[in-house]
Amino acid sequence: MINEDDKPSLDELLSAYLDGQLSERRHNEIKRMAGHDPELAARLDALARQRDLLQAMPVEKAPSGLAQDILACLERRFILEQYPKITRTSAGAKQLFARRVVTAAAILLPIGVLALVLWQILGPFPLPDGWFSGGRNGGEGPVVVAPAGSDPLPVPTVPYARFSAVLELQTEQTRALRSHLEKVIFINGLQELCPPPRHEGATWTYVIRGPSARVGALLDDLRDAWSLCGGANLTLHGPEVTQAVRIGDVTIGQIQSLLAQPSDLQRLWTAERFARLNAVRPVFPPADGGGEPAKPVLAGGHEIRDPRAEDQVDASLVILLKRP
Amino acid sequence: MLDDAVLVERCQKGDASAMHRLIVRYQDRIYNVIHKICQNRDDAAELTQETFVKFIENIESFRGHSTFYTWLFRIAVNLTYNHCRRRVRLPMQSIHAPLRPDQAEAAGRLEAYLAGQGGDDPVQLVQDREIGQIVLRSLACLPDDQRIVLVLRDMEGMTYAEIAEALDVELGTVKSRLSRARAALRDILKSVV
Repeated sequence: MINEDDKPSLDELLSAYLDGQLSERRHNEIKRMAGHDPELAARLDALARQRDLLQAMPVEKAPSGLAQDILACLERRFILEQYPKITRTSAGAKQLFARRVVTAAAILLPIGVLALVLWQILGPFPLPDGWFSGGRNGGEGPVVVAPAGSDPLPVPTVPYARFSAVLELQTEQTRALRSHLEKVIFINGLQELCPPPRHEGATWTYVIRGPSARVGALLDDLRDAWSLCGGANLTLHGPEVTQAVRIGDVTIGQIQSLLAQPSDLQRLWTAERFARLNAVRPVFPPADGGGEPAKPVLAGGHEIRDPRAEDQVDASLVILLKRP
Repeated sequence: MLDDAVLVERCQKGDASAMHRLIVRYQDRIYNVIHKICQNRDDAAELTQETFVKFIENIESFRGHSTFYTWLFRIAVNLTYNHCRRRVRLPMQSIHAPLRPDQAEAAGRLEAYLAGQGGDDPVQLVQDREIGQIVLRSLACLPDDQRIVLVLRDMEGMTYAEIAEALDVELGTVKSRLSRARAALRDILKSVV
């Protein structure tokens, strides 16, 4: 008889016996027991029949075309896997980067153009260290402006002066103006520093050299005779001979402002602003002497001047008196 | 006929024809096992396809520590097992629904065979569609792990060692699981017929 407590282990033994998974000793033992126990033999037989039944079950064939479906699926997956690699990691990233660059350029370009325009209008002249030095005048270096139809301007008489300019005064009353000019040269103690005036045709040339303070005082005194002038143009020279800015219809106040600028760069920058301002707004002759344009002076212009340089010859002003 | 190992090596080098030959060689066996476990043709076709796709995708990692055959069946069984766990199981009572006359006759023949009273050859017996259905439905009532072991052993003919490798379990687990599966199926069949 079969002990029911041993049933699980017996089932396992019978199952293994059927599959030939027992050792030879165990196999023989089960075989001997089955020979003596009809119940065990029937159970073994039922298990064998059940196994045979399962083994006999018809094999289900794979649907036709499954291999092709598998290969097609593999192909699809391969393409889908490759696609993101191609698009996202290389082309996609490049496209995105290019798009960002274009967007940034589209934003920066108008800003740059606007900044350039503003720089052209408001910026100092000349641009420092040759930066964009050619943009203003077609790449031909700093501006040299000579009065149209006039003789070449005299070269400043001081090789390098803080203030170096040529003032053209057109007047019908040359005599009166000459008289006033010579008087103010004397009053401001500049006669020893100035050579005698030259006279060529209709032009009288006064070369005035001296400390900028005295030259400024001379200009201040010249204000009284300004009404005798039919027109005044100032050509301001920079530290280099080729640097010059011409201011049409210049006023005494503007010349004094230029004289007071602390550096060449600021002086040229201011001169250009005056030139541009006067070109759109004729100011000469002033109606009552108070109609002068604003005097832009850079911050701290006067304050940073060295008081010890009070008597230093740092200004050169050539005054041309011309009969029109 | 080229050995599996040779074909796998060619597959690893990207030989599409070797890939095709391996698929053709094993597709019926894989499909049959999966169908016997999940008992749905569409699911079986899909899982078979997925098995081979997974095999190709991971072929670079195959180092030959096991045979290609057990490796492929391991993929198939894992996919099928996961599929079965998601699926709603066949309720036991559905197998005990009243039988039609033709089903009753088939059940009678099956009962006689299992009791050793009929002289039917099992191969001829399962040609009867009704008997085949009874067996399959009884099989479906087994727990997944038992059904898988039984299918791999009695239908696919794997050795215990191969089953242990395919399922990644101990040999003793295969033995005990198989004996419990056979005993459970015997009880189910008894109750049906």
